[in-house]
Amino acid sequence: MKKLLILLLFVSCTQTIYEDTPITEIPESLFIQEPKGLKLESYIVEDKVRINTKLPQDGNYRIKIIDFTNTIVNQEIIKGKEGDNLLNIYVNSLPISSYTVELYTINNEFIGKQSFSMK
Amino acid sequence: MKKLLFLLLPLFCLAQDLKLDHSYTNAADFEVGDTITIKFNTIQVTEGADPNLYMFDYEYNNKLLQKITHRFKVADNEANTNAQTSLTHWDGYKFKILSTYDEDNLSAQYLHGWQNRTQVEGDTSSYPTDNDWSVERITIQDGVGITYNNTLIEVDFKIKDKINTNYSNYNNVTHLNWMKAHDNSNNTAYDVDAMQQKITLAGVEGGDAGSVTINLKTENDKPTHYKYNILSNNSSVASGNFDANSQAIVTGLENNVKYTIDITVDNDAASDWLDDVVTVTDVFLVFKEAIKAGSNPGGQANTFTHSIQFLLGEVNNSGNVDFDDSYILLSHIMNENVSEWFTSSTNGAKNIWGEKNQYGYSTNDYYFGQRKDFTPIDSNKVFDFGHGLIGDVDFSHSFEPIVQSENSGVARGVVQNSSENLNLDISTSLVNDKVELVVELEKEDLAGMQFVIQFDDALLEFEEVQFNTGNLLTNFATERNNKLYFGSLSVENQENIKPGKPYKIIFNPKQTITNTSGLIYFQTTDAVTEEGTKVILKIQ
Repeated sequence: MKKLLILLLFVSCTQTIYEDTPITEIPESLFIQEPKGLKLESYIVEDKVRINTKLPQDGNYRIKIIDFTNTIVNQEIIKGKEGDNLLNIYVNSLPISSYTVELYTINNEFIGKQSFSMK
Repeated sequence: MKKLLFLLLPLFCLAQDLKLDHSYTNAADFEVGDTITIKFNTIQVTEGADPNLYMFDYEYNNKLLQKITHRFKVADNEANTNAQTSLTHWDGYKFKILSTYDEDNLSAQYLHGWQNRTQVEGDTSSYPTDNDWSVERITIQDGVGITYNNTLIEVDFKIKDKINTNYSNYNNVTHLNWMKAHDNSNNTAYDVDAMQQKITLAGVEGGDAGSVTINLKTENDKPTHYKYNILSNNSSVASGNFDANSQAIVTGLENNVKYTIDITVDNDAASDWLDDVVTVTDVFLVFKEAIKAGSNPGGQANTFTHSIQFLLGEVNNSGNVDFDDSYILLSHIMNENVSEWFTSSTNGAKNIWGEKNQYGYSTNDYYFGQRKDFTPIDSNKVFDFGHGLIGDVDFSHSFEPIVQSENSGVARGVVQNSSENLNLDISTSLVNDKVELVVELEKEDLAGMQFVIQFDDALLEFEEVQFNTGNLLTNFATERNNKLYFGSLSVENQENIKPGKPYKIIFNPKQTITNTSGLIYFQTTDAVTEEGTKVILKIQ
């Protein structure tokens, strides 16, 4: 009985531990309804543009920037987490033109794409 | 029941939400040389369709129309004063309509004919090259719906003379290709049809029968950086720059008079690319020619396939192509300018040019075929001139001489056509708060590679290149302004570039960045095999 009381006392004094899961606030302009995909915040870009890469699972993914002639002019490998990932496309090093951003798995399986034009 | 079906039928047929229209605003009695204005606007079809993003492509025939300027007008109406606008221009492409959808169904042509074209089996290219056409992409976005019936943009064109073209009239000089109309607030895509999809200019009169066309022949994609000067008795009678289609339309010349022409690169306009003319392929080809390696290291044959390469590869004014020339070119890619006789940003362009068929073929009158004269006559007012740059033995920025094939047909590009393609994996990533660019290589017989990348120097500072190419290779890395030139060359041809990850470039961010997309622009790449074959690198 004494043991039980001690145990109960310990349990009642133990602090409840909640796992601290960071919550990413997704602005409406970057909200993606589908389970995976890519969305740009703006289609006319100056300096940089925010993007949302919504990923099916944790892992490495490719973001490719492709010009009018279908040539890859930039490719980044990101380490992403399942769900929404807010990132940026920086455009100041690119010649002024219109580009397509494409999202792939690390093994080049297509996920989504969007186009933008530079101001 | 039958009546009900008839009532419902129009509902199925009228799927479009809006129309895109374009039309000229001038009176329709056109003459060659007139300026016309073409306006673009949308028309609402379905009530409630309220897009706040427009992105559309149109194209125009650049042999019949010369674009002068454009003016966005969308912000002139009170509802869209904050609209953002963008126009992008490309020369030498024409939209290939996806035939499984109606040509005037612009939203379907956008979605299937352009956006997802790579998924169309056997017909993946939405924009094949076509020198007669230019494409413009117009993007307009606003926080509110873009109003209908107001002019979005006006574009001014000059009507060109059709005399030296393959066209007999001015039918269908413009074309609406595709359109995306979207409401970003609720992610709604709208269906768009074309109203007037093509513009025809009927009854265009006039035209100067004396207008002469000079065509510039070069592999360089910057024809507007080339100047012409036409002389009669050593006095200039006409001068200017070539247009984006590599043409100069010259008037005021007389029939049956012999003129000479100077064609030179505008060094100020070209300062950004003159250092890209000589690359590792040129160095390697000159070196192989100097040691008379021919097609194998033990041989005694020529590496060059055109005699004009001896002129292009002679870069120290000695009269011969030898080791000194290859080391001068090697010094250039290692950022040392040790000779004044080749093309670079320090030296300026070293130009050679000649009538297209003579270019490259020496006679007593024309040194290496540099025939610089032409004589307009009634039956011939079109003249083609090839242009080359000293140092450019692989013709990456020069016209390659025409070779007559055995059955009298004309075969072009012995050097250019013998090149091979190679897929390459280049990527950037954020590693331990630094930006790393890594090149991954699988091919084993590369004797030289060179990359030019451009980086955002407001956000990045170049730190170093880590080479893992092999022990006997000459590696180089040069930073000029916001560009980085790096690569390797097997000068003694003893060892090839080691496959794996031969190059890792490290940058330090100057401020906090979330990721690296767009920070580095892969500008140019060049490679050559141990056999001297040029390799076109394609990033995957």
